[in-house]
Amino acid sequence: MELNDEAIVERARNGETEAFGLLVKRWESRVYGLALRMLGHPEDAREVVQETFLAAFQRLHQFRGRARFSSWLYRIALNCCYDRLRERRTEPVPLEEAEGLAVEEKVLSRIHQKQVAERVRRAVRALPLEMRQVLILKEYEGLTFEEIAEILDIPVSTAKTRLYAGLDHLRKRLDWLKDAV
Amino acid sequence: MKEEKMPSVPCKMSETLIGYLYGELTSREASAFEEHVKMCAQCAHDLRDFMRVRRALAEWRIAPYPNPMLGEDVVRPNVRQVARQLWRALPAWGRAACGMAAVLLLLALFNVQLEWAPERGFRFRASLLPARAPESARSSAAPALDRRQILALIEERIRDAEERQQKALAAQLEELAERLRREQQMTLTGFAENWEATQRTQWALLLRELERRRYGALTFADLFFSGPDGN
Repeated sequence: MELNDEAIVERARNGETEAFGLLVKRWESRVYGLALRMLGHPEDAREVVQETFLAAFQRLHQFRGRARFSSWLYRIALNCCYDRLRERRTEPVPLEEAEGLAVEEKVLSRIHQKQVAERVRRAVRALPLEMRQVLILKEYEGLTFEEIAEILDIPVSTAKTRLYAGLDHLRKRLDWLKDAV
Repeated sequence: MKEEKMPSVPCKMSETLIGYLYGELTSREASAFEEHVKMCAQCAHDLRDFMRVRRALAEWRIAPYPNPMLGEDVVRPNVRQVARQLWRALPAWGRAACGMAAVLLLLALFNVQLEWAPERGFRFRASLLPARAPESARSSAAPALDRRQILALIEERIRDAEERQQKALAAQLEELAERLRREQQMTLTGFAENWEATQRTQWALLLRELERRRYGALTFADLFFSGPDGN
């Protein structure tokens, strides 16, 4: 039977450093995916993965077990992402640019998946941060609204409202895709 | 057909719509919302659009984590990883300095000497022997042998070793020659004995044949074809 995260954390806190390694193996891909979608740069995302697990290892004694380990880890990862966004000012693509692209692309009836993905990536990155993080945690990390609320320390209703707003933004920006998907 | 423009203010059921969209409603809540959608054009429109947006979002796939870390390595990185990280962290001038230091270390290890004289040009020498120390250092280090003495010592030892080897080789050759001589002697003796025995046999056969011819055949031929002198 596979140990749950919290049990492994307990073992890591009792001095089994190898146990922490199990957590890294289990979560590194997810953290990378979150960071890559938040930041848009693979190099930044890799660094965030390292920073996240380093911070988690250093603060392991602070983990009380009241929240899920995954929520705690996601929160650390998001904080690392915010720090990096502040440092590099890799803020969203301006709305005008995204809309301009949309108008230009409307004429295309069928678009290659890669192009679609690229436009989606740009549209998501153009979202305000509070919408983007909820959307990524929900859409790509598959977390429940309860978990998202826990990670972001907001009410569940706020999480849903932000997601609605995010989808509403995307609907406008991805309007040209309606025949492609 | 142009789509109907929807009001920008969301329906009060928008949170429920989001729950429905992501399958987080109970079956009763879902049924109730489906009834609501039949009556609410705003929610029907949102639901259709958001489902399409979700399909588009699904197209954005990312490559798997390119540098998966083994758990143990994260907690206890090995020397190679640490070295690699340090190397990556170094700026270009730092890498160049490290490279230069490595080259100098190698040159020092192999005692490479580069000399230049106008008449001879550049001279390059390398050996694993220690370089001759400067005069000042040699004078301060009392019992240390200089390069020439070491070379002489080594040459002497090589000579000794060569002499020993030559003696041993000569002894081996002598022994081998002696053995060959013995074997040759034994072979010759055997051959002589064999030859003698063969000869004796041959002689005996010859004599017997002569005897046979002289008395047997001669008697018989002479009796019918010729006289005792062969005519």
